[in-house]
Amino acid sequence: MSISLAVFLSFVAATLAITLWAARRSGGSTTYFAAGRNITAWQNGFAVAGDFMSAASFLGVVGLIALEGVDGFLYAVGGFMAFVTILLLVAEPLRNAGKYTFGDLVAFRFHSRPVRAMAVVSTLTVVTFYMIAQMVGAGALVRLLLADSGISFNTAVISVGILMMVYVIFGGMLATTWVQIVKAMLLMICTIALSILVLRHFHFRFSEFFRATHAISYHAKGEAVVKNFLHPGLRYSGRGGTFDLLSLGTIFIFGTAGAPHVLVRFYTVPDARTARKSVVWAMALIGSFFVMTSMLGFGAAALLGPDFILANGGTNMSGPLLARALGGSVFLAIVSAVAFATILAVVAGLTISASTSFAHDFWVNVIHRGAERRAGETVMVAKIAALAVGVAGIAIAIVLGPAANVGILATMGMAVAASAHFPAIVLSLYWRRFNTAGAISGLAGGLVACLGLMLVSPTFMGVDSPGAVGAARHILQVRPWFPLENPGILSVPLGFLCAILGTFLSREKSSEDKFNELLVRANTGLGAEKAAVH
Amino acid sequence: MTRPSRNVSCDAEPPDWNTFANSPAFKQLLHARRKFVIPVFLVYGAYYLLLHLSFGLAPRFMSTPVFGTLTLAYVFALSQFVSGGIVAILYLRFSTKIDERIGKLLLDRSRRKGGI
Repeated sequence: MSISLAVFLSFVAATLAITLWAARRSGGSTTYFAAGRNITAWQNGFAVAGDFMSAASFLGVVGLIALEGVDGFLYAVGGFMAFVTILLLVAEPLRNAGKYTFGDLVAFRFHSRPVRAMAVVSTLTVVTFYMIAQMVGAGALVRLLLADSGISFNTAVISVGILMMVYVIFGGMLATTWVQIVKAMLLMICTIALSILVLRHFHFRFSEFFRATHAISYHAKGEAVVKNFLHPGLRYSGRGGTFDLLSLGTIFIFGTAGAPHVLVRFYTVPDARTARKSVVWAMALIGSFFVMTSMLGFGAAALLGPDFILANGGTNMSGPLLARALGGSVFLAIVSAVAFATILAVVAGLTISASTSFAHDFWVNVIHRGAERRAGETVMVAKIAALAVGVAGIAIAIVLGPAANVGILATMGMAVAASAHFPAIVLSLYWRRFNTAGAISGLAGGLVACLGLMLVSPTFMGVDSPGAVGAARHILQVRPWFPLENPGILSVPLGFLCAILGTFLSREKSSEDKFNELLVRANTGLGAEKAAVH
Repeated sequence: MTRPSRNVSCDAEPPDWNTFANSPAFKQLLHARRKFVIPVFLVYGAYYLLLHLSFGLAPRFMSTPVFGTLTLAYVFALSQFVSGGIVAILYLRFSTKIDERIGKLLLDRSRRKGGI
């Protein structure tokens, strides 16, 4: 048995023990959906960081910096800055005024049913994109890293899917939170160790380290080039590059603040103060993590070089390859296992947010108008939904196969969250005039604008040479109608515009009473959901 | 049409939200919070977008070395982590004061009602 398999299996054993412990704590909906609201600030900080530091950030960002220098580092900056938005605008009002989902906040002032139904549709869309990205990533990782263990793409995808269903169905939010905490700790330890190894190679002298990133020679489009990786412009250049950069920046600062799997975390703490402190914990963790990813990325560029990385598994493998070069096969095995554990924890977090939204927003509030017919019904529906989400995730990942572009899928999820969820959340909190029609058209308009622009962007549209086959071939063989890869710069304003137009075009008067109630609740915590008492 | 709110959980008697929302003390609280949050958010957002703009529009300027071999681009990007940290610290300090005011507000309210 390979070392990475052994490390990974011990992670699985530990997380199953957590699940068993969590499953024994019987309790109602609050326990299942919100871990009894008894998670502390540091614990939730680690869990939020765990939810956010997916395989895309660990493998993806290191790879982007290793191949595109400081341009790739902008992904890391965006990931960190997203939490300032959450800290200042979203976390506390969400905790104060909601119960289980971000739909609670958006539907608070309005005719709840249609708004919630729309919130469920967009939540499921966002989660689906993230989920497929993670599942495909897991399969690809296994294929590259555990090749010697004889595990295939499909086996990897199915086992990740089954494990995540076990965590979510039997352990609920409590187990998912602790799986996330353990994984965040492992990932931090791993990143710190790898950064120290990089610096040791340069005798712990930063000047020596950064001098090495000054002239990196590799091949670009068949030509030998020498580039300074601390200079911008390797990824984005020209006028189109500027718009792409702004677009990317936009979806980062607004998308995470609308990401359902991050937002559900703030319901697991006792009150808004703890929610606030937990965001600061998460910022400290994510910030130091991302600063270290620049060490790893530049380290991989200097020590291995882009040519070597591309020839040995591609962008996403920069981190693991660096681990092998500096720490040998044992360290490679550990890093791979931790990367795999990361994926597992993130899919569990995604699954519980999707099933919570379905059970709480759709089943109870849309279908049954807010009343649970039998005790425990919501939890049962959520468990069935989790099963369905898991099976669907496995099936889609297997159909798409390992060639699907993981980075694009994850960015699409974030773009939808930024364009549909963020305008609805902000306007319902801060705009007195906002009404039901506005909330629905904001959510729907943002979603449609985002998906539509994606479809006509160079991601899907392009004219390929006859030689391009498989994943390299564009789905629609026409020249792209929208020039940017990322729709954020247009779709986020469109989301706001739809929300505002919808409000003004409908005759409905917004309920003054409801807005006053939300204002008081969101700002004082009066009447907020309390933690379960043991 | 006033539906009973589904979210009211623990308070035995739901407060009169309109009276509360229109009370001067609450309005001052809201004003203080917005006076802090909105400018801070706008400044931080502008600083963040400036990073992206400078990468796109002035790549040569951003290639200037500032500390030894470190370029302006990398230092500017790193400074975003510092600025985010400063915002977090300022906000935590500000919120402690706001928390005290909220506590006082709620206490006054329950005293007036003669409850708790």
